[in-house]
Amino acid sequence: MSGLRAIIGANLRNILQSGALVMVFAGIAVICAAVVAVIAGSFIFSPAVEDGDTTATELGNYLGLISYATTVIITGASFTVLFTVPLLREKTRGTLESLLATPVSVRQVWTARSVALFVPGAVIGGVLGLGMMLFLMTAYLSDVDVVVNGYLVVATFVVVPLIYLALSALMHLVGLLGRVTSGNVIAVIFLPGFSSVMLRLAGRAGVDVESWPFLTINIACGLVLFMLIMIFRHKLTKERIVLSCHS
Amino acid sequence: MVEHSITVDNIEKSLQGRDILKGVSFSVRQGEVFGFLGPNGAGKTTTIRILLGLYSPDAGRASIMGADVTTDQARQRVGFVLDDDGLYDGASAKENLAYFARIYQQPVDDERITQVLRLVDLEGRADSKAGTFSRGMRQRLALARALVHDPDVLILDEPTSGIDPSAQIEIRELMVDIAHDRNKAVMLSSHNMDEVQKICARIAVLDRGEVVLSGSLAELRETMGSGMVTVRTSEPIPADLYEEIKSTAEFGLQDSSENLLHFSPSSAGTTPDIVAALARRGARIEEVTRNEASLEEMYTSIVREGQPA
Repeated sequence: MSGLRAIIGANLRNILQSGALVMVFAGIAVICAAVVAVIAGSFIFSPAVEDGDTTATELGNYLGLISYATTVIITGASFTVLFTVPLLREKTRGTLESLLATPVSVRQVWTARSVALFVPGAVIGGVLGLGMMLFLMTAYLSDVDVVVNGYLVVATFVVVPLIYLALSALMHLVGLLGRVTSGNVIAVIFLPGFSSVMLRLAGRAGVDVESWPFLTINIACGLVLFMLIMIFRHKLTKERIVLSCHS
Repeated sequence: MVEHSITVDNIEKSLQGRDILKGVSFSVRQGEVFGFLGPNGAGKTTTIRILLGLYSPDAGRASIMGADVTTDQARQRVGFVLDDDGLYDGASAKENLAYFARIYQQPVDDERITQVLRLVDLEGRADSKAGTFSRGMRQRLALARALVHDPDVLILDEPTSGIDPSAQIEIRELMVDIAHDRNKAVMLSSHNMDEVQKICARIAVLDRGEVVLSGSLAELRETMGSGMVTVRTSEPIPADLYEEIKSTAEFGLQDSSENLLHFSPSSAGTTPDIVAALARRGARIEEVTRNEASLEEMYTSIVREGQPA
């Protein structure tokens, strides 16, 4: 366990060592959060509060979806920005091969890398998602009743992080066994697809966000990723990783 | 107590449809520096990766201190320096060592880390980032990392490649100290014949996936021939004697001038026979000199011909 913690720490350091990448990610996160806050406040909550027709439950749903979108987009942005360079560096400079030649297992290395990529995005995405919710409640909704949607809260702060953890594991499975860019392709395809489909479904009332369907679809997405990992995880061997480092 | 620190027994390995190792066997004893030679593509790195548990052999068995190389027990007892040093540039020398100490489940002991850094003469740079180190310093730090968990066996892949001669000498002396004073087995893969000849007690030469020669330098000379023997006579050598000497294949007559004969005998024991044959036929021998074959000459001969002469 101390070995796993040490590897997670080293990988986090390796990711955060790329100052330029961290700055790019921080910039994207702040811009996204600011844009979402302005759009949500000016075009959704101000008119809704002025009209007075919108119920407390509807306001809670909007608030929940905005927080959900913020978390999904910002955590996803961290994956596309912070995945490729650190892993490529470890594969080409021999640090990964050196690590695999120690008593750590290939599963430990995989888990540690997946967690290390997940943590910065999940923390910042989660904090900004929660911060967005609190900001909108205090800035625009302080004088009206809002019923917070528990299903959206669970989807945003429990299920979405688990989906991203599974996505990180899948990206690393592919990136460790083959080309690092192939792992990034998964993120580039999955993230816009997932976020746009989920937000369209919820935003256009295609799926009921007030009860279990929206939450269930999120859980199903996580399960699909989890099953893909289960199907392909046996391919992860030290030999295959080392060969991919030198191909 | 195991007899050999490293045992490789008839290992075979194919990668991507190509036979890389075809029954490789050798062993390394505790307290010796063992040279592992071979041209590019001979299978040296594949053998090292098998010993480090990175590849699994298709056939045969390899063990470190009696433990199969596929087990964590074996990996716990081996330290290594690979072709790429594998250091974290953003971490200091001390942090690099502490990280690997944790990986090997060792207590992160400042005293131990300082001691290892002192051994490789990097104590004064403990807090400098590895990314700021020269190639020679990086190799020394990689060697320190290999020693941080006090392994019984060291496997070093080209540890002196690309570094300046004085740093090469330092690392070479360090390897000898580690083997002799600390009684560890050191397996050194190198292209530097001079280095191997200077510090290795025994060597194995790998060519096209097979060990074509192994043993001590003296044993190799015995197998490969003793080098060049030159006989100077005080009078020109008669033609009939010259023909007779030339027809004796084991003498290996290479070249001659009026009163000089150059031999490349098939074994060291042949030199007295050459002298006796010449003396018996009345040649007046003035001087006999023998130049022992260098490891480089033997290696080149093996690799060019594909097998020992």
